[in-house]
Amino acid sequence: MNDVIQVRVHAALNITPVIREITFEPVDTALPAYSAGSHVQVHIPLAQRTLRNAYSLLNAPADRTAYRIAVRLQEHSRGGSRYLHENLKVGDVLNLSRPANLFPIHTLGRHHILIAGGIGITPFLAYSEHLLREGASFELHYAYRSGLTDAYVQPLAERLGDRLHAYDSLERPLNLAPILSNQPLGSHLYICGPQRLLASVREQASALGWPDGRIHWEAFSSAEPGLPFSVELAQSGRRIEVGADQSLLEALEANAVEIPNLCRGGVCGQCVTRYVKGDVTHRDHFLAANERADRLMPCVSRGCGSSLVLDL
Amino acid sequence: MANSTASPHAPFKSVPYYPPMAINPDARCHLVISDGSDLPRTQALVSRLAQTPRVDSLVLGASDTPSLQRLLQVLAQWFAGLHVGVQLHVLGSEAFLWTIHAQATAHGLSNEEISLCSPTDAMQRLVYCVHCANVHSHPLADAVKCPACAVALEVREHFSRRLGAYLGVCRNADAPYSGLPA
Ligand code: FES
Repeated sequence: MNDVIQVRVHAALNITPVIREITFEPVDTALPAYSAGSHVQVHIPLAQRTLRNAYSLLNAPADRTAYRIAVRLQEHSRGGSRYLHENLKVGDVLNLSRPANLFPIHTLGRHHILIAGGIGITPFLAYSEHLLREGASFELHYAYRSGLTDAYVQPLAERLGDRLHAYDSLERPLNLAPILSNQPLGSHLYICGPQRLLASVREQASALGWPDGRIHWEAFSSAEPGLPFSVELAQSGRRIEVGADQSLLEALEANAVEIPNLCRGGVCGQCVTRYVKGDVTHRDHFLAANERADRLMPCVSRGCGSSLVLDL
Repeated sequence: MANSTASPHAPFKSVPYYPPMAINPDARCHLVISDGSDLPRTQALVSRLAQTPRVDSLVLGASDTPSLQRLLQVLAQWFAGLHVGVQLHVLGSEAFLWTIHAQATAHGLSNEEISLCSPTDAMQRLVYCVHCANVHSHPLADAVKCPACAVALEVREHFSRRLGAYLGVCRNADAPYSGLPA
């Protein structure tokens, strides 16, 4: 597929014990342009198979000479972040998918309020550069654990001055009510971080009368392991086995069944697939309850119990 | 083409639709703006909102807002001091609805925060003459005569939200001034 870009690792730096920043440079063709909030899928060559994880691009979108990502080591992941932390070396050549943006800045916003938890700061690094360049009005609230996920506090403080509000979770918890209560008409709210943070910001904002169209978020999630299961493809009659630490989407891809996908984390809705039979553990944040009766998101959801038959 | 029966003007067909009124129970401030043409409905809405934290209303023709210009000034002052969490309700003629809508969006409100009640003047509509750029109110009809430039206009099913008006274009280019009484 020519949707893949070859890149070389130009630099890799541990900026905290759990966060590693990786800079990619182009191998031969120039890097495609992207907008603030975009992510790329990094194709991670594990021993048995290639994993694809999505990471936000951090650098100023105007900078086309390199792509930068920051990877949080995930203890309970399937080895992708561990590989990027422990095995990846400067000079390695990797494949990336082209950037896609599921978390764009709202162009009509009068004022932008960015709220980040931990590694959720990554899209906002690109946001900040873009908004500074545009001379737009914004504020960034960054909650982190000191010494662990505070990777970008210092450079952001220098760059943003009093636009940055930093919350060391042990000393100064993030208090949402004052942030959400006094924002001028036309403000837009953006949240990125753990599910818990997303849920509480969204809930409080709605309770204060914020309409849905002003609230934007990006969840950081990727497929989590489960039990092995098998699926049947109704149209071809094929049967495919899905391993414990493999997602259904990955198993399909390994068998040359391509499904459109962007986030690989159950939020964008691209990979929606119909099923005709079977029990499903739904792990996405996209489908409504009634849609789950005959649809599933193979990037995160899995079969369980009786055997699963997909309408493919 | 998916639908061969679609009108050839389909891409331009954009008439406004006024959904049934929905109140956001979480809004911290409700603003009710009326042109005074249907006071019972305005009052009914204000009393329905009585349980919410804050309700303010403006009625065109009241002592502090005798003119549209004054009403727009007061509204602009309100907007400048308000925060996200507002719902605006507008009642009146279609032209009034869209004048207030334009002012509200200019202050950053989105369609989600503006609720336009169905117009009180269903038998009248504003027509924008593309030839002289004037807007006038006309009774419902497919063809009208522009009072400013006297061109006989065909009224298109194309609505400008910015102007609150339907598009009027010359109905017969060979005889632009004939065919309709003024
Ligand atoms: S790829 Fe985004 S929901 Fe599956």
